[in-house]
Amino acid sequence: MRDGINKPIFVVGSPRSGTSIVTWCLGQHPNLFPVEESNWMGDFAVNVAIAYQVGAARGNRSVLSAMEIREDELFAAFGQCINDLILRHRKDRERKHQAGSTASEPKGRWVDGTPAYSLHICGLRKLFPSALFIHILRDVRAVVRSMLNFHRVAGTQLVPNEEKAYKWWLRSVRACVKAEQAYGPSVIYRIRYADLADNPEPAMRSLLDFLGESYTAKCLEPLAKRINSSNVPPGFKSDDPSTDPAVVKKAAQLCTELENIPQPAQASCAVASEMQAAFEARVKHMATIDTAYKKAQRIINTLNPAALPLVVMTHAALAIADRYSAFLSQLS
Amino acid sequence: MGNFAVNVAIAYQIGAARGDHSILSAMDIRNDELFAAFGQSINDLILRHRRHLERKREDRSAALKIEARWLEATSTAAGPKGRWVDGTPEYSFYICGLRKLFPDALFVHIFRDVRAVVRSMLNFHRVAGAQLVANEQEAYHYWLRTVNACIEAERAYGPSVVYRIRYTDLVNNPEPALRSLLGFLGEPYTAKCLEPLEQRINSSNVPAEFKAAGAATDPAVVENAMQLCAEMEQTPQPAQASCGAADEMEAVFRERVNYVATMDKAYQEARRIIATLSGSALLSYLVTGTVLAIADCCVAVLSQLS
Repeated sequence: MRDGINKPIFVVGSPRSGTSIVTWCLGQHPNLFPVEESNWMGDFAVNVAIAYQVGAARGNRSVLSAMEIREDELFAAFGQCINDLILRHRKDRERKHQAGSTASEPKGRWVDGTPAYSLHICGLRKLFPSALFIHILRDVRAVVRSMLNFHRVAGTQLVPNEEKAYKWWLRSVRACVKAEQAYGPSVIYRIRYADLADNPEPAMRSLLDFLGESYTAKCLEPLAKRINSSNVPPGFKSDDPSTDPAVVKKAAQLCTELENIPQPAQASCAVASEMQAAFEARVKHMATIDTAYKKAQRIINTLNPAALPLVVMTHAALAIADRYSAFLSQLS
Repeated sequence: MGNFAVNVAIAYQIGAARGDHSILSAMDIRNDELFAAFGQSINDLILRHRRHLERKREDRSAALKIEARWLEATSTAAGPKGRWVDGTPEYSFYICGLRKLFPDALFVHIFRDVRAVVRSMLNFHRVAGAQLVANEQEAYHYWLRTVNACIEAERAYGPSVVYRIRYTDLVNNPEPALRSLLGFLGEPYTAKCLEPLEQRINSSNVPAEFKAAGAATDPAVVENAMQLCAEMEQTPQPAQASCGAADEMEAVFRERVNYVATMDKAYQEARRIIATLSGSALLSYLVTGTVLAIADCCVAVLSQLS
């Protein structure tokens, strides 16, 4: 194994921004292999955090704290376990895809292009402390068009309407921008889709340099075929009148800003703390959700949908009847 | 680790949801392999940190009421100790999931007379400072739930995986009981294992005159527990594993996995329902208020007219 260290690469960004094509491009590299979208590791990181809370809740009477197993150690142990499993099964995957490594040594790093991981960068860094992230940024209008035409290639809708597409882009890109601020350019690298399409070689050289891998022209090959795989018809226009113009405006504004401003040159501890706080809030939410759900069910039973309006209407009818009977008695 | 096993199962479901388009299925990583890999990680972590635990225990042996001689860091026979023992009673409910994480794990089901257990639970605050159960009925329920779960595991996995040991045997005939237990675990007998029994048995310090007889306790619950206890005193654990019982345990595990996997969505839905119901209730009250106000005006006008 050329580089058996636990240093995976996650390609993040809004869906339909080119996360898959970048994953495939990098997969052509002699030391990198692409894996299918995993989707589970973000929530898994939250569950590891919950497991640690439970396992260290009572100090010297709880196994993790009593044994001085730190939280970061637990995360890294599970991350290492995932890394080892993936490296061990690389051959099975290659057999299926008939794409063995042509280099003299097996590929040592994997590339995961799950767009949903844009929202889980903090947790993934806990599992894989040496992981690197690539944020692929594409113009929001092109992404929205691609999302709305996704059914042409996949057979299913990716979003029900244009507004949802804009919101999805906003949510994902904001999360990636936040990660850029938090962890800096040594951890997360922003690449523009337009650069990949228009100037692929310098874009790829720069990207591989960030990853600490040597340049190879093979990484450009998938770009010749796969760019814009939603087959958006040339005349397609996305201008749904029911889309909230404020959402479109926000997205277009952020998109313009990102086109003009490069990613921050340094990591920010304050933003990293914000991301950590958001992760902890999610952990707390998931750790208490069973209790909260049971409580919500009790409330629903109290606010019985069938009985409640009846009770209210009866109460109203009785009150009105009372007043009228009093009035009628006066009249009589 | 019980809930963690459930979460690993959920991770597998997501990671293998789309066949060749999902990482775990595309790479032929099997469900059992994922579980065992995480189990191995936990095992490695615990073995690696064993020394920390032993050092702490040595420092705190007096506070923990543990004899320092029980805490020998290394085996005098063959180097560092290689297996760990976890005595979490709640794991009675998680045996199926734990077996997924640790396929070679062995389980010791210690069985004690329900009346003694209830007495001990009710007096737990004397040593721990906090109540273990709110009342006698809860204690009976707790015993029933845990013992039923362990019996189910005995049936499902058989005596090569779960070993039932009676508390009374441990007290009255400790040496043969321990020999038999160590035989099940595949470890040689050593008399050192008997030492803690001299001091720690009945650690709740139940007063001699204490009687557990809560008037509010449902007699049916007590009867259920007593009946199960008597049956277990007379019937040994099943001699063979039952595939049917193992399937039942697997089904319960899967049910839990599905429940937890969909809980976030279900919770969001429940909140939406509450918001809708609260909204409709509010609307109804507003309508009622308006109708009453209009009615009042009508009454006033009619009064003036009359």
